[in-house]
Amino acid sequence: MAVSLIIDGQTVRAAPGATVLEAALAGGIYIPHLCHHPDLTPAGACRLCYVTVNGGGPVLACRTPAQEGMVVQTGSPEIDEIRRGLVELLMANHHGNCKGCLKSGRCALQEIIAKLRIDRKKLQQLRPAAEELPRDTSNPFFVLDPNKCVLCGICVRTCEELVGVGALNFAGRGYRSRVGPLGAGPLAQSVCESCGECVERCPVAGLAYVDHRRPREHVQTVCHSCGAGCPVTLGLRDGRVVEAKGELCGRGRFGWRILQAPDRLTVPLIRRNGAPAEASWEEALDLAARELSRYRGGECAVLCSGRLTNEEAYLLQRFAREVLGTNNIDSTLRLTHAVSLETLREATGWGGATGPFEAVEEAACILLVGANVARSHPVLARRIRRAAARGARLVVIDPREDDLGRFAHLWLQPYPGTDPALLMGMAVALVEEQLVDPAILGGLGAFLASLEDFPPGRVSRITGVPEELVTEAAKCYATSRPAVALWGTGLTQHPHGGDGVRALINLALLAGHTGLYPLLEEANAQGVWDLGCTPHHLPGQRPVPDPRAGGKGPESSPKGDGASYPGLTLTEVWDAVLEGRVRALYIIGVDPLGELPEAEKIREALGRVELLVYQHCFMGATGPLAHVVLPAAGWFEKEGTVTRADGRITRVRRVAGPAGGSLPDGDIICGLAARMGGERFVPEPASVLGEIASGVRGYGGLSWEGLEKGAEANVARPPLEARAAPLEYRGPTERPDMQYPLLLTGARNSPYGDVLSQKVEGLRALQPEEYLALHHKDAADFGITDGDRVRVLSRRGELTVRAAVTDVCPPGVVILNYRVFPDSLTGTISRVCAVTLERLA
Amino acid sequence: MPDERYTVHVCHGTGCVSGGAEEVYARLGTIAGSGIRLKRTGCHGFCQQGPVVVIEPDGIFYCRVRVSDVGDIVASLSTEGRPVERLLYGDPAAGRTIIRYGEIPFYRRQERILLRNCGRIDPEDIDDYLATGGYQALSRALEMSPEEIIAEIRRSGLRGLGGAGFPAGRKWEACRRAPGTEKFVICNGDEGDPGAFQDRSVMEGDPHAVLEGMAIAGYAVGAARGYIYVRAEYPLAVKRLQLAIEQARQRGFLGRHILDRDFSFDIEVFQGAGAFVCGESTALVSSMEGNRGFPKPLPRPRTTESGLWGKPTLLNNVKTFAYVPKIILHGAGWFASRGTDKSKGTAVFSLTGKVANCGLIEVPMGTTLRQIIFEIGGGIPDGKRFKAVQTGGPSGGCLPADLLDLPVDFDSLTAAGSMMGSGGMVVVDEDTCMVDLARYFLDFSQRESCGQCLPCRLGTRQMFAILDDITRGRGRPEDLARLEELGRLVARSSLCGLGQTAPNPVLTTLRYFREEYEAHIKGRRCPAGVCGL
Amino acid sequence: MSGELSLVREILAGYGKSRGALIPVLQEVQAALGYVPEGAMVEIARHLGIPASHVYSVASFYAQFRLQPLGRRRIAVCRGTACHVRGAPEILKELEGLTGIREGETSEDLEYTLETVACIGCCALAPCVRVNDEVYGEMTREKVRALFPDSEEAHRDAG
Repeated sequence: MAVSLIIDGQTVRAAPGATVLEAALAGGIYIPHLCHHPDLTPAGACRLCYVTVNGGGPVLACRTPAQEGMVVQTGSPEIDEIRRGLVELLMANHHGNCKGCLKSGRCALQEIIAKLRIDRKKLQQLRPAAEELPRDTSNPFFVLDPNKCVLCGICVRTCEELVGVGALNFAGRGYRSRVGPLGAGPLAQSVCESCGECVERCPVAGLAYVDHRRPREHVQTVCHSCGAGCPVTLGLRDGRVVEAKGELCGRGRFGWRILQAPDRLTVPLIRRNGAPAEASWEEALDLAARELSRYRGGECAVLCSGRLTNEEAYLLQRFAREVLGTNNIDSTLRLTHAVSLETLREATGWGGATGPFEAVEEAACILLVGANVARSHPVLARRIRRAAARGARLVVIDPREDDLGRFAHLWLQPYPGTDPALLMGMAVALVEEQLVDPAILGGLGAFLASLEDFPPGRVSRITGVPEELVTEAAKCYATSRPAVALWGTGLTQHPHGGDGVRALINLALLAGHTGLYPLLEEANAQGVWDLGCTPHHLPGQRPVPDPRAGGKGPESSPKGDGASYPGLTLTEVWDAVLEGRVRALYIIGVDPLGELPEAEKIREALGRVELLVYQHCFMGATGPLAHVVLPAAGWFEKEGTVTRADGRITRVRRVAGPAGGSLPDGDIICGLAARMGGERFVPEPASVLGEIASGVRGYGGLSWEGLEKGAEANVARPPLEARAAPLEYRGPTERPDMQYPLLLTGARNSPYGDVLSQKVEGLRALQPEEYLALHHKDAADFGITDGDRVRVLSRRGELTVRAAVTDVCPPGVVILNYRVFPDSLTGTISRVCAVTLERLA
Repeated sequence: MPDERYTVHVCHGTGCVSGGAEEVYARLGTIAGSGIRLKRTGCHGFCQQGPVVVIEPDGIFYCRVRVSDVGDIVASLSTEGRPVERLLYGDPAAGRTIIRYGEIPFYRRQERILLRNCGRIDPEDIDDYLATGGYQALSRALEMSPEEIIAEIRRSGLRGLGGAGFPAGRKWEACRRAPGTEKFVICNGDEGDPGAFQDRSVMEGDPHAVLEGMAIAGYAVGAARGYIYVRAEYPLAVKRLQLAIEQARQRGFLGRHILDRDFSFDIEVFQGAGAFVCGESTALVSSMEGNRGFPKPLPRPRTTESGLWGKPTLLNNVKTFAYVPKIILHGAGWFASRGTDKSKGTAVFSLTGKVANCGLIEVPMGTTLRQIIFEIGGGIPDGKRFKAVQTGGPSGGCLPADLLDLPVDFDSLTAAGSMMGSGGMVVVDEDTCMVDLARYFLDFSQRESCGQCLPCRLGTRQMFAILDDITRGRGRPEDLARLEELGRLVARSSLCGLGQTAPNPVLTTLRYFREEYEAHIKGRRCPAGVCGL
Repeated sequence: MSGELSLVREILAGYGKSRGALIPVLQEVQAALGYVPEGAMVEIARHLGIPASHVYSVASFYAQFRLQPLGRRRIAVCRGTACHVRGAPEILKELEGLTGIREGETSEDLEYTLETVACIGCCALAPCVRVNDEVYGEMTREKVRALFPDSEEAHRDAG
């Protein structure tokens, strides 16, 4: 029930549970304060917000609940004296003046000083703070300045309560108190994720952006940095982005700087005399169209990334199918979660998450499998931490324990690649503990029979996870309601990745839970998939009809018959090029040679292919090999819609640019299509969305105007109808032995490392040094100490890297960041193999 | 053992141990023959004269005993000889030596209720405690209803002895009434006041009294767990309490089904880690929860409703709990008959500083400062002149000579601008500079301020900086007005009681010794000759 | 370092995942190692399920915890009121002269650490000094010098 109270003679309505301070601020009545922030628990530390209630003595407005009929005075001679005295103390202790201060003009202390009548003479009678303390400038984006800090603790509470990282805290005590990370070392070398949430909330210049300029206008759009699709408001000044507001991670907060990268492609290039030369759009598009027209259907292949908008993805697949006449179209999702979406589609009728990410924060149990979510989806990780902090049970299955560890109720560390066995083992535990609804069990004969392959002892031997822990995890997941399961590439990036996804779906079905979330990483990976940029599916996830069903693998099909045969996947394309079956490549928004595994094979294929049309914001490693390079607009430089990884559809808006002479991908695709006889290729996103809305399953009924107004839209997935399916255990392809006694796997050890982070100088600077994580027992066996350089040897290749002795991974398992994991160790795109170590002198 | 004619008590308080009491005890053990029983005791209180050895039943009091004296002591016992003259206490006032304990003015003027066992029993032996009627109060309490116990405590008028003087019975009742099945009892032994050691002496000298009081409190409020929060600087207290807990468990006074009744209660010792602010109840709870010792700002629920881990918690001082068994055994009326109208019972002080007899004393509430300092304390040594007495530590104030007839109780001290605090009483003479003393206390407060709230963090720092300047001859005429203003500001707007009382040493010295400040500022002169101007 | 960490792990094995164990754990670690190294704080944080910065925050709040290795002889001058009025500041000055270090410092050879302590509780014996676990009461400059015969010699030699 809302209450009404009288503050300074004015009647104010307050929300239920609001404090007097909140009520006053909401009613437009200012009460001086420094340590209050609406997102955080009240601290009561700055003592500035004293008020009187019903004529009594001073009380803190920030800690006094607003009650019906209260009569509040925000000032009195006594309160004014206290406020002035406190502000004088702050000013005497504040180093430097406002001129040249990074926060000048946006500083709460300045505002308070302006409102109170400060006696300058009295101020001069106070003793100034003695020592000037060093500023922490280790972070490229913001500075921590103890000389300006008022110790309100807003940053500490933000990092703990909202972000859940706890990088910052108070250190020391009394007037020597400071805010800083562990050991008062440089912030950039702490667990700080550089999300800037504390900087956003700091009322003074204790934490301030180093190069902030005040924006003049704002545009609301959606973040580009991962599949979580966080809403972001970009601030602009003189047509350039100057800030990003919203609940964001470091990539989201600072990644917009990629727009201003000095090496953006701005002019089309065509190869003349073996070297790229600048050309006009007319020349470049004419050339590309003419050359592409020389190839028939399956001789062409189109590769793209999840960084296209829905409209562009839809146009691109139309271009491939209608103009080029081929189903050879695929996206980088192939390397991460295509297997998740395919398995989900087979099992449940739709390849996508079953609910919104918001439900994760509401869950009673969160099962997280093979995902370094704090690195891949930092804001989602916050939801998980907040859920755990309020009591949700977090159960994690991952060989490597990361900083979610302290929030985890259980952390299971299976040997890499053995998740399917572990998940089936959990299913066995559910059945044995009679936690499965008999109604669900009925008719599951084949599945139950397949469970017999996973007796607890065997599961424990295969996975290295103790039996009790398997049972406890299963019970925790099954008995908490609602429960959600999320998974990342740790589950899928194995030869039998689909088994893991299937096993997890089985487990959810047995427990009667519906929350299933594959953690897609690229901003529009889901939309690009849904709208048909896959060789096996048409828009709306409709399977490509296969007249040779059950027959041999896909092969090139004659022109004009493109929709009749499933095409080649991104991983199959390179062999097809090397075998001469594919002779022309149109690559959009991905730099295969720079970003993808199997670089050697790709280099050879790109050298061999007859025609390479490359469309991107940056030259990358692939650009120099292209015959035609088409400069594309970046994420914030184009209009459209995106589907985030949980199926929410939102508008992405042009905020600036496009830079130089670059064009949105949709315009380029339509330009090519028009030159090649394509019909109805209109680049306007609103028009394309109309076409999508009228014909694509799951996307029906969307309206540009509705989305423009901010209407909530979700992919309309068919009702969940699924049954647990039998599974046979297929172990990792390689096991440790006497010669190669350790199992190496990949993980993500930093949120930075993708193209985005590489192109933004500050994000690149935050990239930690690469290391091989190994357990201290293994370190002792190999005579390795922390920081040693070691050679990692597999049967096929080797790598030299620094060793980090930890116990975040179990004995017998060593872990390397994906970014530096060379193909040579495994010989495939798999990221698991047996290795041995040698300590280098 | 029937043939043991003498019992030799060797004080094992921290003061005496630092003077070599353990070596004395060991030597006695080696050479004392049959007929002599040796006993380690807790603090006798007369720490300045340590190591203290008392021969019972005659009550012969030896002071400043060294290992080399042991032979003579043993010889004096075995040959029916005379006491060892050189070890007897020489009364500086009367100019004669005193043989017996009870005749020494330091003890004669005291009324030892709380400290009765201190220095008489072996704190490491539960049987010694039992022999003095120990744990009988618990046994009696368990026959009463919790409400009856609380009513008895209320009637006694016992007030919390941690500083604030909140009536204990009301606190117990609030905790009993607080909803919740899990409740805690915490004994606050975080005696952080520099210049006070009476809690330490009680924990070291009579640990079972504390445990017994806590168990009775646990029964009365409905708690099953108790904690004793002891300063880390008190290792001996920790050791003795842990030993006492172990022995009490073995005898069924702690643990499950105490005295075969349906009441279970156990106690653990939690060692503080060195922060004055943790004497404040909510800061103490924060620290037990693994946090910085930050007090919780008002308005907030009382600790009795939401204390440790958010559960109803009864938090009392060491002395408060130690009084409880005595009140239960002897009745509320017995306790209430002592002291003044609003401050019942006795007051325990650590009497130190420029006074002839330093040590731990216990007097009825209402005894005057003069009686304490001049009769018990023996006045000011070396013929110096009394200048002031400081009570209540950094939260208290300095009272001048014309207040010497002030009766010592909660309310009189507060009215004079000081406070009872945890019971420190430091006497200073003409050689002490009051500005330096104020500077000393503000230095303490600014070091010990938790730093959470602005007024205490920056206000005490600012006051210290001004005082420091004054003692260095850099004072300015307007400084006194600034100090008074800052003092009011810090007192009115600080988050917790410690910040609110931190200006007291400055405000009282400004009130009673303003001329000393003025001499520093205007005359660039330190009347006591302490500040090197 | 790895030896230290395995000691820390052994200590942690005796505690559950509760924030309330933080101060007892820090005390036990300090008792075992003489101080609380940063690596130990990270390990403690992981075990108790709290941020490492919180462990540091708590460790740096309480006077008891040392974040740097201490000297073999840890000298603490009591700065209680009784000690102050009976000459503790002179005692401290004398000790600073004898050890060549200031309050709060540890000598480079790790021989001495000099610190002050709020109150040892031996007020009746003021002024007091504690060396490691021994308390010395009624200190004078002469008695202080007697505690450091070596140092005095060193002084004489130097002079």
